[in-house]
Amino acid sequence: MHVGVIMNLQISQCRYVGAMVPPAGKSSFDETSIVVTDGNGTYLRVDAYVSDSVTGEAMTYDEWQLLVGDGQATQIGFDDVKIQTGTVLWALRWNFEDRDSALDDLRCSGALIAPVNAHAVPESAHSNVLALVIRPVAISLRDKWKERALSNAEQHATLGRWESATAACEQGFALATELDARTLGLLILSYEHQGRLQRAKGYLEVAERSKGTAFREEVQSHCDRWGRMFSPETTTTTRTPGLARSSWKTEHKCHLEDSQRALAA
Amino acid sequence: MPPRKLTELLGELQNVIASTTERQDCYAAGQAMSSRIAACLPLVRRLKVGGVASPWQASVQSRALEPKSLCTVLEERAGIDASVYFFLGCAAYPRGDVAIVLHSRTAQSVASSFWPFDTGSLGSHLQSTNGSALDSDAQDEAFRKYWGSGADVSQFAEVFLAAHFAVPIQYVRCGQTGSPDFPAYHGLMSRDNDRRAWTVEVQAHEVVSLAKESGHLKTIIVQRHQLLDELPDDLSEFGKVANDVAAGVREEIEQLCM
Repeated sequence: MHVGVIMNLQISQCRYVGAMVPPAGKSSFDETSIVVTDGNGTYLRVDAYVSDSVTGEAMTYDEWQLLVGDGQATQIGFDDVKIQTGTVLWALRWNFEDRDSALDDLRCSGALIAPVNAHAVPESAHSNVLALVIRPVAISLRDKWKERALSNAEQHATLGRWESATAACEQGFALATELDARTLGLLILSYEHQGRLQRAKGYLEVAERSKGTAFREEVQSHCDRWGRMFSPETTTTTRTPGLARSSWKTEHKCHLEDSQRALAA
Repeated sequence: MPPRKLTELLGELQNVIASTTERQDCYAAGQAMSSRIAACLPLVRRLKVGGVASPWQASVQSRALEPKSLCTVLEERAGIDASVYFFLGCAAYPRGDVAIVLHSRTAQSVASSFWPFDTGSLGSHLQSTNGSALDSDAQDEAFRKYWGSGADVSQFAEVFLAAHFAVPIQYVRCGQTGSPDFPAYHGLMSRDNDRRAWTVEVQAHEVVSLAKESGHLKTIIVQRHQLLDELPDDLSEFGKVANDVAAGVREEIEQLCM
């Protein structure tokens, strides 16, 4: 079988065997496609669910074992899993803040299709949590967790705790379902405050390369806005000359209200 | 055994172009655009994402692409000790959540070779145009006959693109499966119409630095933004997020060439 051949399998014929997500990785959250088999030697990396079938890249058993062997895929034993439309694997890594609370959310949501699975991180005392979820059901949780992370980041930033703000922001960034200007703006600001200017500048480049100049400007504008909220004394001169202190306070309040509304939703 | 001279390789290609009037006319019409495109075609290495010790994470942490010494039999017979593999101007390897894109000049500045097909497919998916499989001798012959020096790859591509495509940018735009407008001049084709039968492969035989100051690195395309976390601070500016890595590479090249 030539690599890259796309195939369809009926969901009812499929058995879950693993996923492409590596157990290691720096981001606190990751999502990836699952791998299924038809029991007749064909393995499929599921890219899409169409009606009652799955579509994806086909591979042989040997190819699948090769991926597992060199750490590109993980063969996690979820017992008696019945694949449902939209099943993906979520990794909540050891550095995921508020993980227990997130897992409670997952358990209550009806999105879990098997109990979560703890997966030890090699050569460390940590473990990642892997969960098979129905994406369309679980996706709102991801947004909720993102908003919670950004709200935490704001609170840390308000108190000048930029290391914690960065960690929370990175979590919000990992949870975002796509590059979004607001999250990226706050992340860039937190890198600036940590003195990681190269990364801050780098992410502005990423914004432009990925989504064009207008998106970069949008990110920059969010970054400036966040900046005025947290460091008015410096940013009123360096970012937006003449912005009164009362303005950033009002703006901060509005921002917090935005976040709270998003969390409540 | 050294690679063949550019003049020899181009001579054979020109003979095929001259074989029909239609191909000759098409070549003449596309030459100018082909030159412009060939000059900026980057080297693309698509990688799979894995654990901490995976090639992609190791490459960005060490800021280097290390040639592997586990060569194919064909490479061993030709005296090639180690290689790191690229395709010219597209992400022809169909798997991987990451693509490392290097400026075209990299092939001139490191010891490298090229072939107008995927050498890894010689023993498996490539066959002659009459449908017969390639035996060991035929594989060896193709490997040696079409082996060029990496320093010449841009000049070769100038002619190669116009010799195969009415609109040379189609070389970049073609998806994983598809054929050029004219049959590949080397007489090889893929059993499943995979583009690797006619896409130019480049092998670097020494370490390729990804450090910013080396000037080789153009972009690191990642399939999901979470993977940006793996980039060290000094490489973060090279990141680009594209849900479809191959399409992201195409877009990058079109911006560069058109």
